[in-house]
Amino acid sequence: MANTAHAEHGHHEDSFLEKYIFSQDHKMIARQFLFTGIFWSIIGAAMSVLFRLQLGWPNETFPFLETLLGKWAEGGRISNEFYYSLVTMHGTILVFFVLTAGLSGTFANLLIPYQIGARDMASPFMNMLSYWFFLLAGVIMLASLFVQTGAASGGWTMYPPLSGIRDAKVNAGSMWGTDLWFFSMAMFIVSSLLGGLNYIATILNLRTKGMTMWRLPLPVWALLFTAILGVLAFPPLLSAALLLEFDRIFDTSFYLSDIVVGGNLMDYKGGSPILFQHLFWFLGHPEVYIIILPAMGITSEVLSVNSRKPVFGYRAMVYAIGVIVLLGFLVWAHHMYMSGMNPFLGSIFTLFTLLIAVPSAVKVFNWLTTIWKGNLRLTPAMLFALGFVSLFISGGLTGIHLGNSAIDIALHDTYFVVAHFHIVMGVAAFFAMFAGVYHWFPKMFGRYINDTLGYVHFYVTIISAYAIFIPMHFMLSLPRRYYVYSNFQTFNIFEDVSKFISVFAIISFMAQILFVVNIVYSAFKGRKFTSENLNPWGANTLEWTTPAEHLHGNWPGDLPEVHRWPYDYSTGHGDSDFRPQTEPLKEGEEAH
Amino acid sequence: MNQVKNMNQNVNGRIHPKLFLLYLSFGSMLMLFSAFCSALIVRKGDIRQAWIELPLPSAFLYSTFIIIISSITIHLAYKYIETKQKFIMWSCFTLILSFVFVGLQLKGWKDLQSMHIFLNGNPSGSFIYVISWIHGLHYLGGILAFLLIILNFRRSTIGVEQKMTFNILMQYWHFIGLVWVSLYLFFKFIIYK
Repeated sequence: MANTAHAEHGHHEDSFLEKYIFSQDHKMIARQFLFTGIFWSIIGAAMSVLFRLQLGWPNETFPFLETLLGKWAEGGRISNEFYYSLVTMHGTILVFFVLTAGLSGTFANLLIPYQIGARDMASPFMNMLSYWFFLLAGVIMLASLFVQTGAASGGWTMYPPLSGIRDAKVNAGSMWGTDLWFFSMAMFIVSSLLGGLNYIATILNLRTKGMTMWRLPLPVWALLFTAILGVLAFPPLLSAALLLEFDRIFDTSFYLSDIVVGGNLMDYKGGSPILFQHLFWFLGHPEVYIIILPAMGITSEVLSVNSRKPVFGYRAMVYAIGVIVLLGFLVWAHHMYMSGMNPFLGSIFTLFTLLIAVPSAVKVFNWLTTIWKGNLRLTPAMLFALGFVSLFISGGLTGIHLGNSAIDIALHDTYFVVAHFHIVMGVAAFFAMFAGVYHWFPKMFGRYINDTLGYVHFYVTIISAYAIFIPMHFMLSLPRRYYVYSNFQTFNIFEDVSKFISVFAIISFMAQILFVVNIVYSAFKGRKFTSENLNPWGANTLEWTTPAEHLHGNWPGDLPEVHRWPYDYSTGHGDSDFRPQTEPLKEGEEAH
Repeated sequence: MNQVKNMNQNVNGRIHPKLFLLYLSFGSMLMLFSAFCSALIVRKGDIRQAWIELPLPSAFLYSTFIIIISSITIHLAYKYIETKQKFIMWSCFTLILSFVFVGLQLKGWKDLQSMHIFLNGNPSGSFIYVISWIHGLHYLGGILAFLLIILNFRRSTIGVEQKMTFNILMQYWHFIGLVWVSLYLFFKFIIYK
């Protein structure tokens, strides 16, 4: 048996601090990431509700806002500076704290050791540090919301010169709010690097006997590529942020030149703000894939298990992820078509950007063929996975328009762009995250989640998501980031549709509260996940061979040995419609 | 908990996970320095903004030689890790050289100032300060790790685990030395000709 030296693995009792606070157990760290991610998603989503109130009813007042926010909403209307802080922090929180750390942190920690058959991560200590740096980043970011001059308000991309000058005359949020934003992000990057390096080392080094690379479940492949992207793309963001902080604190001129503030020429000479954009988007675009690849991996797994069919084109799925990663590093400047770049260069970036449609289409095709004529079980997890595919197609199609430099110049900074990226990397990634939580809830909490609430959550969320973002596609003459668009007569036509969107944003937010209530309720009061039925979904992967109760080390005896790939569903061999990876091949049965 | 950590070592005879983690982290560090260097290239190539050519202080050349020599001495320390006296001797040489390196870097920054090249002047000078500081931070991390490891070795006998720990330190030392040599050559022959 694999790793026989571990047969005498004793289950030593951890203290409360070791078990719940400074845990080095990947399963507990996964839950820590999940709960911290949920906390941040509530904050981030609540912010969107606040600015949707402003956008839906730009000329009305809401007295409760003044009670809630004080000087930031005097007279019941949020101030312009606070509006920009809200959109900045909403973007930052959702992109980094929820859809990067919340998604990858939760599922990489939960699934990697489980699905490759390892006791834990390569370095459990580093894994713990990864969470604590993430938490520290969160504490600093949270503190930035409460500084007197307000949170950062230069946009989540933090473009200089707006974010590069530490002067209240530029905007109040450019003071401590922006400094704390950068310190927080530095901690966040350290967390991501510690986590990512650990994930790669674990997957490549600690697979159990028989778990060849081509037997890895697709979530693990996706998390591996995500980690590779992260460890290569986050350091340039760190360098960009460091140089910007030098500009802000030590008056260097990396990004700034010839700036006039309040009628005074400042002392900056020789800097280039475009340089920051290059460094930022060198991370910023791969960041999209850091978010969406784990979502794709989770979706593949949930679709296959709940269709009772093998994943169609397993190797093509892996190669497609690889190609997406490769191309992901070559397309950053498609965010900069308006920066005055050479049109020839723009056409190169257009070519590479449009090429990403090929592996993306391979994945979509394979998901559809996986569920085609399958024995579908429409569990909440399955519905959310199907919702992911739907959203990925809807949002991906508009990417073809925006990736084209000629069309992007017309559409740049309009609500069309807002609709595109929210659907394809925001809502879609959330759907996959929900699918993952519903699917692996028993493994995480030892209880089943309430399905009825899950169905309500799904239907309200998908209706709201499309009700919010489909109309935005038709607001393509309305620039984003306008605090009061109704000041311009030409944009008044969007008032009704903005109200419509805002109403559904509020409904959607309520549905997510229901989801959180469901998690908390089910974690304590849900039906128990017992050792009588350790594999409730009839899945093939190794996590379903571990005991119902959490054991640090995962398997009480030897590590399991793998004999087959993870997607042997409905193969026609024997009386069951699935073949766990631990089941040896039968006589005459060929390995996939 | 320690049981779990121990159980994770050398599954199926693959490379030691900690050494592998180090190799992976080289990728991240390379990307960090590559980002700084590419920013430097892009900024220098931006003809719309002023760029001032400047000479590199000779202290940086000497520090480059020192860091190369310290790589040789740490290698000898590792080679003689089981011979206490030789190990201590080569380790001390390495540490002394590392302090000399730090001193030369300090002199280099002082020389830049005496040439009226300040952190907040033209970006051509600012880049040298920032990139060499970031490298310096990595180097100080290496010195700190070296001191901790040596102190730890005093309390234990040299076994497989200790050899692996020193091997990891040595590889980091080589890497961070190589980074400085590359940065120096980059500064000297590509940027500040």
